[in-house]
Amino acid sequence: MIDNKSEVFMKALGISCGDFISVFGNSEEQLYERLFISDTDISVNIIDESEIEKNEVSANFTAFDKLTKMQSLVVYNSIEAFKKRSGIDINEDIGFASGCEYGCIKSLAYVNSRINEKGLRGVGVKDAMNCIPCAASSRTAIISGLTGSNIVNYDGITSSLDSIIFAADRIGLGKNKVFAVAGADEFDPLIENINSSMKEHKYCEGAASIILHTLDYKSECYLSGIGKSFSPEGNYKKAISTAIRKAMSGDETTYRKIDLVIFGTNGSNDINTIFCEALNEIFPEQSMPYLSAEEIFGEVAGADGILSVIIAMKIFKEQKLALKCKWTADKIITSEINNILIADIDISGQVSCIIVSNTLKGEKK
Amino acid sequence: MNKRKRVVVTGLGVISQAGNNIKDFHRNIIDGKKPYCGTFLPQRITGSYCTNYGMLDEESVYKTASERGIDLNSIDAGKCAKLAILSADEAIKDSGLKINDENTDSVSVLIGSAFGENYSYDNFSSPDNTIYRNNDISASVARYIGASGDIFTNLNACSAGNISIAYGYELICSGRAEVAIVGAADVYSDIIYGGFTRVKILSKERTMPFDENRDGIIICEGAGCMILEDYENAVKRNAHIYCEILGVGMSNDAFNLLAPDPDGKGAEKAIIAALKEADCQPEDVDYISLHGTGTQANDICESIAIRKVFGESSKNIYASSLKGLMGHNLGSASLLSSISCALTIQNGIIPFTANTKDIIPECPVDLVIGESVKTNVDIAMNNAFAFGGCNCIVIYSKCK
Repeated sequence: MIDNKSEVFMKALGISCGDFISVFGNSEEQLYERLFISDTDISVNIIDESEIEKNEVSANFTAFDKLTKMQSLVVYNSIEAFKKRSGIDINEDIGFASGCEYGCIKSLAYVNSRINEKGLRGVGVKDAMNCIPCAASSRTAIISGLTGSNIVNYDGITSSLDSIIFAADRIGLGKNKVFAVAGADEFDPLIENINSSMKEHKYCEGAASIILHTLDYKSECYLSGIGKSFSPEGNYKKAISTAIRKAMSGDETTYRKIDLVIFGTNGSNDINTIFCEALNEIFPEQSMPYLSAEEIFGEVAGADGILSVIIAMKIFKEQKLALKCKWTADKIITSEINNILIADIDISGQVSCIIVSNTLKGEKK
Repeated sequence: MNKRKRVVVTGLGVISQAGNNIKDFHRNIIDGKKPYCGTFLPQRITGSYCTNYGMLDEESVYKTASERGIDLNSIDAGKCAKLAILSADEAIKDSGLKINDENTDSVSVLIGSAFGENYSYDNFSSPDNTIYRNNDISASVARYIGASGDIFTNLNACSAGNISIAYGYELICSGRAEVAIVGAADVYSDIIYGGFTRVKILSKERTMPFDENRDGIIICEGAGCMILEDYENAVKRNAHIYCEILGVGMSNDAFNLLAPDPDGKGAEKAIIAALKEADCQPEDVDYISLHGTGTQANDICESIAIRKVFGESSKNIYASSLKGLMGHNLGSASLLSSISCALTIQNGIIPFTANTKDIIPECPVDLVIGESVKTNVDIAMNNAFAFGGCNCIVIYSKCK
């Protein structure tokens, strides 16, 4: 058995330059409003493609499918912001890791309809290319010239956290210094046929990205813990507890006190209850505030984890909790928000967890 | 960070046209035989210039499962997941590994695929159709074997198998896992067949890697699995060790979705990264298991990359591509060729490249054709260069 305390701690890594596109918009001001001012629920699930294309960069993406457009735009923006911030000029050796839950679902449905009508003649070259599961990530890497690596995972709602964890593993081993990490998903009604629990969620499309890097570069916040677990017997609580405990054995320079939890699931709402029970067991003396990214962005499964990081970055900056926060016990006043636990629980039983920190021990902000 | 650990291969499992177990697979790739071919009967896609597709013989797959006590019909999972489970089952039994409460948290499952369970969209409009999630490929294997560690499903086209191996290796190196069950699987889909027909990447008849008359790929179904373990643990439990993984290298062409970088820069970068991590000089490599798809573009680009890295020593390196015999197993191709590398190192026989007769002048290596070659192989390199430009190299060696 791995001894988490001594064997798997990780050195903190820097996080910077988050970018997102969502059904309510893509600006910092709109995010501030969603988090701290507006109490309204998400009412749409689709992003108007003209909103994506009106950006002068993404105006060049019109030939691509929507998934590629969304992901390419956010990654491009993150990379350019990072280059400005850090002074690096070239994209060589920047790794790229991305995640989806459903991926090219619209293209798959479309091409199959065409095959039903016209057989082989129904398969257009461009449409067929859109059906390659790694097409969006590969095109994103081509547009931004990312040659370090290009790995796409389809780990359900944990996919974007798993991209972060993959990138962290590679940076930790010294293989790369900088990674662009992204997640994205499109909306299609077919989703409810694939996962019936989605009827309980507000499924939306969107995309998000961050840059993960060594501490050689200035950071907006830090990745200070990672943990994953799976329960073969479907015991969600056990998997949640194991993943959180693994993440809590993270960087020795951070505090151990968690100030807020952001979590997401694509399973039934029962999992929310189980998650809170797990939190109470792990943090028995603390009424823990918690929030889900779904309440802010809608459920964008492939991007849920990175959207949660973007929420965390905003909360660190503003040092206040989101309006939609709940508590595991009594509501308490939170004075300082320094460590946020982010967890995603997939319907398969897979749980991925990270801890992001505003400061490292001793650091002043 | 912890001192990097040594990683060894202790178990192998396979479902392929060449064999539904490692013994048959090895014998048949050496002899150039494919006794487990299924019959290809396209339903919706007709009129393709390629009338060939490497189907698995479904009856033999179910028979194999039944002989091992696995009822595939009772497993609620897609076809890729089922093939992955079957190959993982053999690999675990081969390794002698016991997964229990003591070690389950440190056993990771990483399965890759090119198209995953997306074949299940072929009948999406039918009310009886089930669409399977790609995440469930690794989850199903983890559920079947009782693993509770990291699970990760990558869909990185033709590099998916090597990516699973590389990430599994890195998880053990870093101490985040003690065992990694790494695999890959791919099955037939109308979209794959139709799409590849339309982009004219299919061969009319057969795959001929590095041959003057090569004209493309024949797609095949298949699955493979390897058990990777921390060396110390493997030795402690007296496991049979096939070989060691010395290093991996990844890169991305960032060039084109369907074609490799014609200068081979991305491939070159991945090979150099792998050799550096393995602490090997190019001339230390005895055998290269080529990506060797038999397309015009890949075979030239792969030749350029190898020549750039290995230079004059290229001609002294034996090489072969399994794709002549096996066709292109898509995501599982690099897993099957990695299995072939492990068997080559253990047994000292390099499988030949089937169908190839007139080797292209650009090919820099000593391509094994006609018949397999008996020779000692200490260090083998396995190449994978995928659609979209994702490149992944794994270097294996005898375990010393």
